[in-house]
Amino acid sequence: MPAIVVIVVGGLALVVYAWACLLALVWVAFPGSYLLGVAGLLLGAGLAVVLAGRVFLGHGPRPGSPVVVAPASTGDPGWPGYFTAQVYRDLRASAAWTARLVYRAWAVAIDQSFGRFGAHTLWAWPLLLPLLVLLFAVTAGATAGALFATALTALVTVLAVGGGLATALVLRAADRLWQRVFHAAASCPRPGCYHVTRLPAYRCPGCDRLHRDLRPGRLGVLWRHCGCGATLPTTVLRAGRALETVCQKCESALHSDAALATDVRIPVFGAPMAGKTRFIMAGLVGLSARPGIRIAPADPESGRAFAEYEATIGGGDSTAQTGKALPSAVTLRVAGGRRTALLHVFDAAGERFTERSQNEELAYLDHARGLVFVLDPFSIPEVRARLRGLAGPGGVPVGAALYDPDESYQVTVRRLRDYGVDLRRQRLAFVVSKADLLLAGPAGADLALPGPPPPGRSPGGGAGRSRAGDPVSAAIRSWLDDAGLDNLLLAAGRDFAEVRYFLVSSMTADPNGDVAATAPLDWLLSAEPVPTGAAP
Amino acid sequence: MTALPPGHVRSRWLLLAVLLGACAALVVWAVHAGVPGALLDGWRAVWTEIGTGTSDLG
Repeated sequence: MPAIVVIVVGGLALVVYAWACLLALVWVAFPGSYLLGVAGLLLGAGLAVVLAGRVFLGHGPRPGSPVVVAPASTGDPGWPGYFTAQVYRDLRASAAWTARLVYRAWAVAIDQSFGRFGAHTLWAWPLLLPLLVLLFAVTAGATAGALFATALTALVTVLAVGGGLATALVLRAADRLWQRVFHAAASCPRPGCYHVTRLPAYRCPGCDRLHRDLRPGRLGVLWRHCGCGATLPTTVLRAGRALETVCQKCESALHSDAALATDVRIPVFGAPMAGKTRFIMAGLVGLSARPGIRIAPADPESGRAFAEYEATIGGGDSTAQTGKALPSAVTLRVAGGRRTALLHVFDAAGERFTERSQNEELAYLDHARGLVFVLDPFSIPEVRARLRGLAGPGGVPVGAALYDPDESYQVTVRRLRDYGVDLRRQRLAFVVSKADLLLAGPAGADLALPGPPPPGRSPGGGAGRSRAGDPVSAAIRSWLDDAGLDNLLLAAGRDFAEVRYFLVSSMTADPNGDVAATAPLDWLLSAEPVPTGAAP
Repeated sequence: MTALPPGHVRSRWLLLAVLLGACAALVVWAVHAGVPGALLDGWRAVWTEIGTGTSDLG
């Protein structure tokens, strides 16, 4: 009997439970699922967008906040641009934040149901249905919202990176074009360095650290932010006007307009006592006397050297022998009209040009577009033989070079070849020095320089008003050929793209004289966008 | 606040503005496309189905 009661009561309870489930399903679960489904989608999507927005607002540090990029640890100490690094971290952080909240919603729902009531929770299965729909809707909405935010960010990033890349390319091209047109480069005048580059380093005014590649790029297109926070302009054209320019190799300060101004390097080589230093003195002082151009030493060391040049040439003093230490460049800033150029002249002791091992460190030889070879005519064996026995003014002068002319040329040319310098792209000014002594004595008697020049032109081998097929140059070459230097002349003609011969007296600084020391410089500078003030 | 690299704040504001603008555009588009009305219709259809056993939507 009790068993029948239990069965009847149980059956009735089951029917009541089934009826309640049906009512809950119809009146709660179905409409609830609809409402919670729509709401969950909106909630999830809104959650993802709001979290992405909070990341972009830079909310305070908390677990899961985006890792903020640091200044580059390798290369230049600059902050990477936002769209090249930080944006990816921000996106990752906002997606992770959204996922974490959705996961927590699932965890709380499960904990509050199955966690508290265990398997009994299943008795309320019709009520679980809307909850399940809500959780799935929130998850789907959050996924859609995160994808939406990611797609938008990706679109902006692509536009920003693409625009930045195009701008960077244009700015880099402008740098290169400027340097190509104006032959601009940065030359280090320090002894032993002599590094030449189109891209010097720049010192940050805030922290003194070096930025070795300030071209537009990953660290900024128009501006770059140093690790210290200072804002630096990119491009050589802008950085060179605002920052201290520094040598990439030895890290010493370069001239203020290095890599911006036309940069001309003129190495002078030749045997000891050939007259190299005197030629440089007379040439530079002569150039500075020209009207129409302004020449000033570009650094204090060059200033001291130039003052010495002026004193020596102006006072007619004799030239002290050049020391055997590696030379610093004597750099002059040449300005005329709106153009400015840095003219670096290198003068090493002649002893460094007598042995191959001695010129190993003269790296400046490799970076010139034009060189000057100075030859003392009294070092030519045949000239010496002709003058043998003659004493006084007609004989071999005291202090004439003794070293073999051929060898003094070959030693330097061998070095250039060993270092892979393409001589066929370089010009050589072949300077026969001591013209005053040569023309005054019997040795130069057969040096037939062409006659009086047409009006407006200076005569003689000076004045580099030497042109293609210049008769003056041809006459000097012919004289050297007759003097037995045919091998040297052939070698020079074969080695270099162009060779021009000059007869020079360096005793005075007359910039327009017949045998002016400015002539070879004028000729070399005529291939550069440099104002020289020379007659056209 | 987290220390931000200089200049990054502007980029983040730009992204935020784009995000909010796109959300606003989406909402405007949804309203114009009649999404809220469709949702209400759906709700009514569900409710009618429950109350009468027939649906407005057939």
